Amino acid sequence: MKEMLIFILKRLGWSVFVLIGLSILIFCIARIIPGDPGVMALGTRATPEALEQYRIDNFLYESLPRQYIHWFEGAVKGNFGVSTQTRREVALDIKEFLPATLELILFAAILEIVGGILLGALSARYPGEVIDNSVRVASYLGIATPAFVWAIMFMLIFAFVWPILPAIGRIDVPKPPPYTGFLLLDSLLAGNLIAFWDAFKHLIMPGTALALTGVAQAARMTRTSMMENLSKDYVGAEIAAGIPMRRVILQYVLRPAATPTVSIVALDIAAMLGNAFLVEVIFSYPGISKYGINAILNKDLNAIVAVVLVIGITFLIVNIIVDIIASYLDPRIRLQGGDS
Amino acid sequence: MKQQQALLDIKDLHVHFKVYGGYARVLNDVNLSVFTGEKIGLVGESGCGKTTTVKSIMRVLPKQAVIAGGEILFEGQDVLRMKDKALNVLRGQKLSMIFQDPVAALNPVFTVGKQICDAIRFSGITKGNNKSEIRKLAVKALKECSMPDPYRILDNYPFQLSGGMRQRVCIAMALATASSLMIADEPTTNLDVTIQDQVLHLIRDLVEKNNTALILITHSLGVAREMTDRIYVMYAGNIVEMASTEEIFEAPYHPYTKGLLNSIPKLTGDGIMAGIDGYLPDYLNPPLGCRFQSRCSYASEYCGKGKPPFIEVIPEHYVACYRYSESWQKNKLGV
Amino acid sequence: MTVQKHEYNTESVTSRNQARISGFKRSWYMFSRNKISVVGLVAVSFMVLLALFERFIAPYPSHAGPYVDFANANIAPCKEFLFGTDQYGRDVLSRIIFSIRNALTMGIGVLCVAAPIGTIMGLLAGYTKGRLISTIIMRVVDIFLSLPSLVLALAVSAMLNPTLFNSMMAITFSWWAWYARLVYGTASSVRNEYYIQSAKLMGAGLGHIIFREVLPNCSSTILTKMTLDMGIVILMGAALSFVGLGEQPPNPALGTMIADGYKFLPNMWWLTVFPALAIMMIVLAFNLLGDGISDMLNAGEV
Repeated sequence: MKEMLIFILKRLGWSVFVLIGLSILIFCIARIIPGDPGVMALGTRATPEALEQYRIDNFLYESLPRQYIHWFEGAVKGNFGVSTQTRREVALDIKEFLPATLELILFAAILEIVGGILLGALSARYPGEVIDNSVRVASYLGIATPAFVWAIMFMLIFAFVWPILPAIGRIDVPKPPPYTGFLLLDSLLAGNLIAFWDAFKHLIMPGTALALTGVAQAARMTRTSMMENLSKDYVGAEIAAGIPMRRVILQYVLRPAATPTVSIVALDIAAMLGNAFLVEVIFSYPGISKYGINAILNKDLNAIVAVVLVIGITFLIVNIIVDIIASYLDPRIRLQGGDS
Repeated sequence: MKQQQALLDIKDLHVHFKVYGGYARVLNDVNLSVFTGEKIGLVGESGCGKTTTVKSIMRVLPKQAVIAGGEILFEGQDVLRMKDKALNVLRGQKLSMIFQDPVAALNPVFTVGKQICDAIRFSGITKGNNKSEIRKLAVKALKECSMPDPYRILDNYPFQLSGGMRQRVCIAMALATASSLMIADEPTTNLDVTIQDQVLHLIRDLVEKNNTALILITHSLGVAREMTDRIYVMYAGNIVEMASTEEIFEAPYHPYTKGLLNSIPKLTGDGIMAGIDGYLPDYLNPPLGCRFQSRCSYASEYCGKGKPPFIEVIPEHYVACYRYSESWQKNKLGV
Repeated sequence: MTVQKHEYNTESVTSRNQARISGFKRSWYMFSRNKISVVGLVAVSFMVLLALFERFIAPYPSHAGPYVDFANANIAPCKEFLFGTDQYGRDVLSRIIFSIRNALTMGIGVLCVAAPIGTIMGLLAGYTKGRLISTIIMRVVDIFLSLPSLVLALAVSAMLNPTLFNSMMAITFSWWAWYARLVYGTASSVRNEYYIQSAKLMGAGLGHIIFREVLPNCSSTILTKMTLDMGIVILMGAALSFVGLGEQPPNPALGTMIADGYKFLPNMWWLTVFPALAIMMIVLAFNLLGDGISDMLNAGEV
């Protein structure tokens, strides 16, 4: 347990460093790019006074490192400036839109882990048989199809041709009181099952669209590493010791084989965070990614920087969680410090 | 001895491997028998099919392997045609195997204790699932393998132990369930020289104490001489000679066995050992007849004609070589 | 009659050329063992041909630009327009063929810049592991990889003018670090091998060691990753053009076509379905090819 704690602390300390580096990177991208940030933000028809005010508010007359320090001081206090698009504090916007995206990503990640490991294990157990071949074909399709194409196909099928699922938004019935911002959780806390079911239905299409690529990848990864582990000597030794094949597979092989799958899931969540930008737009899902796309298309610098940073933080947290799971699955990572 | 039923009887075993360009005919008509409490050595150079033979007995061959013919009778039952369930009982209670590489033979992500306890639990030697009883047996097994501090070892992961310790754990796992046949596949190849002797003695003592039969695979004739009663010499998927250990060392018949014996370095230091020229034949297109002919200094036209017969040259000493066939002898006299 | 001595395959190869041919045959066997890889190879070759000879293959080459013909707008797939026409009367098939060229250009362009940069960084960092320069490179790599690639590419291209070239730059910017990390792993593990030590003892320079001794160890993984990445990069390009940050209208791009088309669902389904299928085919083909190449190069066991 103690090793675990040290491991997590090390990981956290490292993340702070990466985060600062990331913020510098994003900040530089936003400032070094040619063009007047004021004009970019306010448009060419902005009055000179408004431009002047914008420049002063955003410290544009100071040197780049000083600009960064000003920005950093604000960011630590949760102040990312004002969005030129919503005319609100960026922090407020993020607070409003982030939980929706997190809920969506979480839903998709659970789908991926359960589906991927299940399908992968099945096809490793029966290699070359019908289930294996169908999983293989399906996983090729899954990997080759971008999330936004899935999203559009689902939209076409389940919203237009056979309308059983809501096409847009997050919820159609009155919202439960916002304790956490996660609608599923909030509606359960409020005991409002109707809202829960409605919010759940809204998650199915975008969530599945985001998850499918990952399901395919996780299934292939699980299959490959299970097959690899199945050919190792220790499997022979366990079988030779009289342990039934079923138990050898479900326990002795699945656990070491799941470790690379878990690492793949981290990468897939990164892909989901990126694909959410398109999927949320398609389903008009009011999350941070849809907000981010609007910021990008309107060159709303403060909002872009904040959104990208928030996504970076989310990804870092995901990575830490995945590392913890991996170190639980494989004691070598935990006890030897692993190889970061 | 021949009258009693053999504990293990391998008859005409053929095993092929699917590879680039077709099937590699690795095991070609292997016959081997082991009697209760007997210690057998299976000797030959790397790649001659020793491991494949014993993996067939346990039915843990890799996927590419195809059993192309023959039977493996254990206590009269054919292992190759046995249902999985019966086979598991057999593996748990009667057969056990120690693998070449103790690093690979232990699951890296589970504690030693869990692995030994599971082996005991599924062997069915304890009634039901009594955890403390199983644990006691595991500790006993580790103690028998002269492991210090067995309680601590049970909670360790394999990577926290040294190579010698890991091999002892493997032996403990194999012996925790009383078995009647133990297969040891080069159990000391991957260990330090100083540890090798300890592990070998441990195996011999335990096997003798429990009256367990042993098949020891090794490419070291010295080890075989020290450990076994009877030796099978294997070359390129064939058994080429079988005799008691003493006989093999004193009066080898097959040219390959002779070559092997000549290649043992002598402590007297009279030059470098002779060795055998050439390499193992290609298993994809094995030569017709004797597989050793291309390296054999006695090879003649006979050798390419068909598989050499397994001749009993003197009682209890068999050789697969045309030199000892009647026709060869006649021919030679005729010339 | 003499004894038939057995001949080995390797011994019967007499000339270098023969060895090369037998090596090629063996590689082809490894590659084609999985028939699906062959399908991938055929599909990729087909697309390369389409991209090279678009002008001659596309039925209406002029439709891939600022072309308007309202008389023929919104026609469902028929004999004349196999994939139908869009709201400006342009042939969807012709536009798809032209955008395949853009997609391949994007994939090749990005990888031909990102892979060498990443490889050099990874080689340098791997070989100098433990020294300051290695730490700096790998920390920068960590920072680049701490953000999902698509998000980074979106952020970068948001700041640039939306063109095909700029979207390629944005993806390259977010992609090189993957190669650096990949190569770093191999390079740092082989740097203590004896052949490297002996090259050093013989006085070989840094360039020689890195490119002639270390690089060959990584080349098969790099090549495999590049083939598999082609699909992913093309997908990212499509995603960027889907939100309007890639090739600008009236030039055709698969992502733009889908983005324009899906507003007309479900009635004018052909505007969305065919470009989507085209993306899937391209990515699938490169994935299959990549699997075959990895079978061929990483054929440790037979």
